[in-house]
Amino acid sequence: MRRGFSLVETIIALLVVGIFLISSMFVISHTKEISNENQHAVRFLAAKSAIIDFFMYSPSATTTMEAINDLLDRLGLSEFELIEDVDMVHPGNDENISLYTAKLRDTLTGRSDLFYVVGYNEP
Amino acid sequence: MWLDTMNHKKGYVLTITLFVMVFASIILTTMSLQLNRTIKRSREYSMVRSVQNVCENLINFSTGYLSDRYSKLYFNDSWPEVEEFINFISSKGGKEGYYWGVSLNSLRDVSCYLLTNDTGFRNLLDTQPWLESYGATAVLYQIGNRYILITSAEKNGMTRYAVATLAEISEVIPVLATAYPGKTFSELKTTKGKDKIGKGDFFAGPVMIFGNTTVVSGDPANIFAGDLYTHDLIAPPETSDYSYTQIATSAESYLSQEVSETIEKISSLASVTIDYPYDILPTSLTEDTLLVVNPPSSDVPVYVTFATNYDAKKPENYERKVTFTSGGKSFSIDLDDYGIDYLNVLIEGDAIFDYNSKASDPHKALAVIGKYDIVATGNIYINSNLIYRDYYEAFNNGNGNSSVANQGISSLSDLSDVLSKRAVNDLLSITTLSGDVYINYTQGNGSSSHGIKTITARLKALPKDGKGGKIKFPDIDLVSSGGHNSQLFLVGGMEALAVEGDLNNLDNLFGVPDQVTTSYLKKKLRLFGLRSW
Repeated sequence: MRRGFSLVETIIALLVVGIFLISSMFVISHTKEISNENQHAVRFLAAKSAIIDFFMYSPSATTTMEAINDLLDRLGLSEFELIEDVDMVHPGNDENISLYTAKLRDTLTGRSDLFYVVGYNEP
Repeated sequence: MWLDTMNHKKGYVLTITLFVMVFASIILTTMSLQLNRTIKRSREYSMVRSVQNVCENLINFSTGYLSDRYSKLYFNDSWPEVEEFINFISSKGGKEGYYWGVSLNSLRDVSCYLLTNDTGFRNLLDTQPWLESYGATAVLYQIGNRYILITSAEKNGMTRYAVATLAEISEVIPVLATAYPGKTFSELKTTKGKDKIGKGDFFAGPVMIFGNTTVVSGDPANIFAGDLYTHDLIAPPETSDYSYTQIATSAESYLSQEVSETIEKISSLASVTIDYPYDILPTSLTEDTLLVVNPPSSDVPVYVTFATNYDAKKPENYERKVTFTSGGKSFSIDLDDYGIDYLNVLIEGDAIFDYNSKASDPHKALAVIGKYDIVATGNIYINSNLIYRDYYEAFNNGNGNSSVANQGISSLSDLSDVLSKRAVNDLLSITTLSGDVYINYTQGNGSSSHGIKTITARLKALPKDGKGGKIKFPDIDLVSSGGHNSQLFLVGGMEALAVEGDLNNLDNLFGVPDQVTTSYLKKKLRLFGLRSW
């Protein structure tokens, strides 16, 4: 009767475990990356929603890039910033309707998005 | 023992390794699946939020479109998706969804106005970048005096909805706004042992005095029931701690806003001009049309007359009509003939509101039937009483079918009766731009046996280029107080730089805001709440 593990067994076991650990590390790292990206995506959505609410419910609000970026900072969403001042037009020259166009960028991922908000200005 | 046994089993290390790997793989797979699920949900949520955002944008867009354009809304359409909409919101959010479903269930049986079928709206909507790749619907329901606006947006098979409640803005206008009211104020009190009222004033709406307000007797709280805005209030020391709003605004700056709005309104409307002596009357008029009345020459006034000999018991016999007479020639505009709800008029010169153009009678009453906004560039003279239908019986004793307004407010029950009335179908706005408003008590045949004057109108004397801006009572010193209390009863209000004439000669001054809850020039809507699913 043989005692202990054979060398071949040990080598195979170590090899298999090594391969498993390496691939696991890769999978875990990738998962973490995706998880981070998802977290950014959620925070990006939060930043976007904050700007949408700001213009939707404050029709006479400022449209300057600095003011909005300051707002995002105060909300703890400092990794996001507007690329330029928010553009505002009155569709059909109707002063009761304001169409805001904003370009938001995630400074960590480089992702940016252009979106629109329509505000109603009570006469 | 166990370890010893293990050590003696051949190849067991591979089994352990396999177990560990299987266990780790299960953990990794579960983790990945959970992460994938989270990512999928967050992407879905992002997509849902985008569609909801389009619905909310559409709510604001639709409200803005409706609010700034007067349009008669005919609720004759049906919305095929209403069933689907109610089922959708009922299934969301548990009990909350159930209550939403119950509250909006009545929409199944109600006709609506499909705003997205409106060509003007559709054309404007088609230019909107935020609607690209979305299918969208906006539909308006009327429930009582409120509107329910529903929007839906669809993208890649995902449909979302938003609902908003809209209501017309209640326009609170001051019943008196001037720097010099031409009088001091006193509390209205009954005479000893009777219900009959003595000398005093009562305002059911806001009063703005751009100067000092003096109360000589009584409690300001019982005079200014609808709030007082003034520079300073001088009141008897024994009165209550009446709280008023102290302002520093001048009458000039307050009225300059009114002047700008009036000019803006006039210039925004399409003009249809009647030049005396005219040949033909306009074939069509809309709420966005301005009827310009040019008298034969600048020194000839235009007489404005509403329904005469009005019988409040037979209101169906009377038309929503106004008559203009100048240089002996008359024409009438019947609002129903033109299918309009209100009429905008600009009189280039002086305007006289009188029973007829031949002999003025200060007792006579014109029944104002319909909604009119009349602006004159000259002076305005108000000789007859001007009374909305719903108030007519309160001031006309009806004896002998005589259309006189000789029944004033003589008791608290009279006042209570008048305050309970609501004239929602008639509205008259009389504005002079750069002229003065003259209110005459004894003008014409001069045989006025009492001093009862009732004016249901929003009177505005707006100064322009340093001219005009006063409301004058040229014969106020001659007003009789025998028999009946002399009084001025306003339903609407007076706005002017100053009131000229000693109004202390009148026993009573009453001011009641009119009950029309919206500007009849344009629909003004307020968005009361928005919910999206």
